[in-house]
Amino acid sequence: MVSLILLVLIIFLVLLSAKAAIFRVKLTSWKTGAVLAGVYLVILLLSVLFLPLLPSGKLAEPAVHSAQLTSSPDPKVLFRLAAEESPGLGTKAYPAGIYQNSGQEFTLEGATLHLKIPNNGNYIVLVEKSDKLAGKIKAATFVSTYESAGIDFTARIAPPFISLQNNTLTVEPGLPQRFTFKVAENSPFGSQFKGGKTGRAMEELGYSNFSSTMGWQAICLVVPKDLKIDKGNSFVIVQ
Amino acid sequence: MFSAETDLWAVAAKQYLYKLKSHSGFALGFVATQIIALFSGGIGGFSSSGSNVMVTVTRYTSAVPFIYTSIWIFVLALTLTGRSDEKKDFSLVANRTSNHLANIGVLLSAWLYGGVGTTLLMGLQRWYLYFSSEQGEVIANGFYLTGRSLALALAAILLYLLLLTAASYLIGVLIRISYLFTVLLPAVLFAWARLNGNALQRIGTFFLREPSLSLFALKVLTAALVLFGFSVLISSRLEVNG
Repeated sequence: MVSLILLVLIIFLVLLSAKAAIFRVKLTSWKTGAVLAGVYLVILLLSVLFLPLLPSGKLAEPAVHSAQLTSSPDPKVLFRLAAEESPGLGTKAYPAGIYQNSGQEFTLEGATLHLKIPNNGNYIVLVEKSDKLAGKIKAATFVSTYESAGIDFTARIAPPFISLQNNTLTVEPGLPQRFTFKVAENSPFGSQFKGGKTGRAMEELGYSNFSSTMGWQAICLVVPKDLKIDKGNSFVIVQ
Repeated sequence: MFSAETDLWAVAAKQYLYKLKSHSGFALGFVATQIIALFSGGIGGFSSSGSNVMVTVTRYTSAVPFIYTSIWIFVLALTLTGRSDEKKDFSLVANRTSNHLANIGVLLSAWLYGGVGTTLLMGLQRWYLYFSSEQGEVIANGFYLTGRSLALALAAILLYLLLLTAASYLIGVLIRISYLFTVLLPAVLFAWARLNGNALQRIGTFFLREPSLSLFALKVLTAALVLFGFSVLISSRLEVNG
C-alpha cells in the first residue's frame, strides 16, 4: 500500500515537472536546475567514494561456521551435553550449532516435583535423573541453529522463563522476538552476465532465495534419581 | 548538400540546447523521484516465523530507483513528442529531422544522467541504510561496493535504460501521430501476449538471458538504433498528411 502511494506520488511529481515544462511555468531557472542537478550528482559520487569509510563493526557478518544444522531434535545430543558437562549456569556455545541460552539451579523442598509446562509444541522437555544431585534441580535451555540470509542469530534467542515455587516447576514462553535484517544488494541487472558480481548478494554467497533455518528449542532438566515427577499435562521425555 | 547537412546539425544543436533548457525542470523531477526511491524502503525479502521468533529480511536494490527513472524517462519522451512541445519549436527555424535529432539528444542526455544517477544512488542508499538501522541489522556482504561491481551495474543499467528510452520515444511518436495508439498499443500487446505469448517471451529472453555483456550491448545498441530510426521514419512518412 505504501509502495503504491509512493508510486502515485512519483508519477505526480514527474507529471508536475512535465506540466511545468509544457506551460513554461518555471519552477526555477534552467541554470539553477542545472546547478542543483550537478550538485546532486556530486553528492551521489561522494557517497560512493566515501562508502568504505563506514566502519564495518555495525554490520552483521554472515555465519562462517559450517555447522551441520540440526533440523530435527536429537535428545541424545542434549542428554550427552547434560550428563557430561552441562547444564551449567549461564550460556554456552556447543558444536553442531547448539547453544545453551540459559542455565539455572533450584533447591528442592519436597520429594515430588510437579511440572507445569505448556504443551504448545515450542519446546522439547527432557528430564534426566542423576545420582550426582541431591535436593537440587539443574535446568538448562538449548536452541539449535537459527539462521536467516546467512546470519546466525542463535545466540540472540531468548530463553523461556523457568521458576520453581512450592516444588512446582513452571515454564513460561520467552518474550516474542522479531529480528530484522537488511540486505544491500547491488544492481540486479548485472547478475545475468558471465562472472557478474553485481547480482543478489545472497546468491553470490550461495544463499538462494534467502533460505532460513528456524531451529528448535529444548529444556533440559537434571533431577535427583529418587525424585518423583508429577508430569501433569506436560509432555516430557524422561531418560 | 554538405552545407545543408551542416545546417541540419547546427540547427539540431541549437534546438537541443533550447529544449534542454526548457525541460530543465525534469532534472529536478529526477532528483525528487530518486530521493523518494531512497526513502521508499526495501523490496521483497521474506518473513519467517517459528514458535515465538519472527525474522524479516528486506532487500535494498537499485531496482526501485530504476523503475522510477524509467517512468521519468517515459514521461520526458511523451512530453518531447507532445503537440504542446511542438508548438514551442515554431519559434525556431527548424525541420522535422532536426526536431527528432534534438529530441533524441535531450533524451540521451537524460538517459545518461538518469543511468549514472540511478547507479550512484546505490552509495547513498547504503549510507541511509547504515545510519537508519540498528546494530547488526544490515548484512555486511554486498554492502561495500567494488569498482568492478559498480562498473558492471552502470553498464547494465545504462543499457537497459537505453532500450526503454528508445521504446518510450517510439511510443511517444506513435501517440503524437494518433491518440488512438494510447489504446491500440496496450491492446495489441495484450492480444499478442494472448495469441503468441512465446514470441513476446522470446524477445524478453533475447535481452534478459544474454550472458555476454558485449553481446548484450550490441543487441541493445542495435535495437535502440532501430527504434529511434523507426520513430523518425514513421513520423516523417505519416505526418506529412497530418
